[in-house]
Amino acid sequence: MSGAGMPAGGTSQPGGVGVAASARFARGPVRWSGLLPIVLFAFAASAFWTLFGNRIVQAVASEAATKALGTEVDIRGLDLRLLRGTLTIAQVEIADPFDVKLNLLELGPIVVGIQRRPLLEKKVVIDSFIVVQSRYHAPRAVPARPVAGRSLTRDVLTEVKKFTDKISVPPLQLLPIDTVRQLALHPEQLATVRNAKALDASADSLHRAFTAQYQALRLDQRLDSAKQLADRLKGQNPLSLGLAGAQRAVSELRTVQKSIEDLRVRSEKLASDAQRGDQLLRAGVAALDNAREQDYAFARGLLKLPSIEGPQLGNALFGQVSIDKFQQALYYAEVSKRYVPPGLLPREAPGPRRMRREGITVAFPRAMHYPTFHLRRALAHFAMNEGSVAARYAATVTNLSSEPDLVGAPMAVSISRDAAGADLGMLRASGVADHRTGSALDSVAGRATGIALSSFDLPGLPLTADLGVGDATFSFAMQGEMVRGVWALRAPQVRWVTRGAPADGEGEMIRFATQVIAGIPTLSIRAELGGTIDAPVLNVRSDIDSAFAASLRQQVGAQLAKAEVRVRAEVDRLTAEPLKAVRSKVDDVRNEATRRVAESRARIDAQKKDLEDRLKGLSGGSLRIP
Amino acid sequence: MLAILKLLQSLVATLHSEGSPRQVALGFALGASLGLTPLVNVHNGIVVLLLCVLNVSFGAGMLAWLVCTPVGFLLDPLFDRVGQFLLLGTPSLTPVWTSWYNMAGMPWTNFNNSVVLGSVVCWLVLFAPTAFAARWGLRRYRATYAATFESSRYMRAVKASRLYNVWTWFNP
Repeated sequence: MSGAGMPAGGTSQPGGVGVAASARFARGPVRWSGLLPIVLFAFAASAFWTLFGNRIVQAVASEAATKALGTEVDIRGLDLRLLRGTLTIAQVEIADPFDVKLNLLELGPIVVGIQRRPLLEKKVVIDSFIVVQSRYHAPRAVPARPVAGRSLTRDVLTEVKKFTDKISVPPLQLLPIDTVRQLALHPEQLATVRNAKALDASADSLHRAFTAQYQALRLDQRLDSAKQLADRLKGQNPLSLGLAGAQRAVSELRTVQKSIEDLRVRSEKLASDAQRGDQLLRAGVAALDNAREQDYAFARGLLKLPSIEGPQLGNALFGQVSIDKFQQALYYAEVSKRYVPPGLLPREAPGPRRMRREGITVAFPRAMHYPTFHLRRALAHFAMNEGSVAARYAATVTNLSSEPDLVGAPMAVSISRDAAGADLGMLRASGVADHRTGSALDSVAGRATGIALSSFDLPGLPLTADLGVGDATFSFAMQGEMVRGVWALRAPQVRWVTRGAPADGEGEMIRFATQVIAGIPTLSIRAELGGTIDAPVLNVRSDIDSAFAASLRQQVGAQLAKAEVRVRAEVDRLTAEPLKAVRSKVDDVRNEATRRVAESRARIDAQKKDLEDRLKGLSGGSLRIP
Repeated sequence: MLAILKLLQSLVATLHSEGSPRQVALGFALGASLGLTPLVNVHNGIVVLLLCVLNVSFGAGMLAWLVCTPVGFLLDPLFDRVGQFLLLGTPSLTPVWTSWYNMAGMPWTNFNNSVVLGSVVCWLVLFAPTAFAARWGLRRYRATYAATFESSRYMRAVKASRLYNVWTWFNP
């Protein structure tokens, strides 16, 4: 075998026909025989794609969607026709990230129209996405498997969990009141005692600082020096001192006057500092009163006295069910915020999973160009099979995009009930995700009337609220760090179902509460969420709060008042001594500061006046000494 | 074990092929891409195409793939840093990446991935040194040990194998 690239005099090799053929083609820089395996490979690859391409795309899409959503996504019956720009999918199951036994959505058949030109840029622009049929919250045949590894949505779930943990929901306390006998408080448990000690230390510190500042004035020395000069010049005049002597005296007087003025200024600063210290001490004393209220609440908590105040009851009874509603909205808002960041700066994302290091993949969006992903319009018909809102619905999504700046419009979602639905009054829901500016806005609002409302268990009570048919409204908005939300429902024919008897020893109060609530025929709840992501505030009101509170007060008011008195007495007993001591010290410090400030002011003013008199005496009233 | 045997067979077949040192060296430098950079990428498809079509040693390319694969894994952190520096740490290049990202076909190269870009750049930088080193090494080998090894029974066994016959189709 020989060729152009072979060294001269190369030894021939045994090789048969193939070798001889390659020798013919191996002349020049190009080896045309090499095209043969490439062509064969291309044929094999085409055959492989034809046979397995859709399965591969299906597996890759399932895995990518699972990773992206952080919950199992199963795709079946995928058929991709790239040349025609169509994609059909028989079924897509998206598991509920909050409940592995449910599918959040079951979609299919789906017909997708894809633009072919953006595919060359590895971008997906979908003109139409039609879901012929789908179901919401259908049970899964097999529970969804947990998504391994870290994912964006898992991080979001963690963030949402942190958010909901920050919302304070007081437990419903309905234990018997006779546990007051078990009250055992230690002074160190009480905020009043701790605050009193801290205030005592602050008073000491302020006192030390004031004393040091006062001593630094050298008030006595400087006033004595001025007094000596004033005494020396007493009864003197320009005639007795002579012109030169009078000039020296005036000069000395003016120097001392300046010194006294400086002393006055520093004394006023001392007075100002003393006043600030006084305010601090006053605030500290006022805080002690608040701390004592906290201690009363703490002691009440130790006794597990029943919650009978309206706001406490509303949050205790309906706080958790309200949080469940808001946390789902927050989850989707956070996912939306993270997947669709505003602006057109390069965006980093983890690279594809492979044996080699993943690295990072950076997207470089450009104005007036295709976004990486853009769903122009999607239309879905779906059915909800749950009892609460069972009906057929139609949903539209417009302008869902990874780079909303390039689309120039916010993403909008709307859902409405199909005209051919079940016996449902009205349902409308809409949402907007506007991520075109730095302060992204995600909001959703919905209203349904005459729907079968979901029942839920009352925490701490053996009661389930079977709400029956009623109205519900929901709104949630997150802009930057601010969150706002309202969840309200009205159930005019609520039915209270008991779930079993309370345990012995804790039954009396619970039985009473159960009776009271079971006698309430209607239920209206209004939960308002406000504040920020870091400091959310939930306020839940319901029309059973006041009725329940009044009944409770009537039933256990007297016992509760006695318990309250004992709680207060115990807290007062433990805090009386530290409070008395610290108040006394604070008064001493304040009084001493006030006295010293007033005294120094008076002495300075007197000396100042004395010096002015001497100066007038030397100037003879109208004679001006240079 | 099989991989080691294949590596040895590739090594022997390449060292004793009829290709000139230049052809073997270019084949080796081209094939290094298959090992140094993440395999399933467009640029590696082009490299395989070039190895098949150009009059360079295909066997040397395969040998380089085997030799450079562990090196690629080891150097991945370096490739990642180089890629990140080029993609994100060099603002003057941002217009280039933006242009490529929005150009038909280019995004499929995955050059917007830090490991792919970093490894390809490193491979290109090392291409000429690799080729020169391979040529020098092959010349030294052929001048010193080749004749002795050529007549050994090991070489006869290698040449007798069917795999070797297929191999020779692509040898220059």
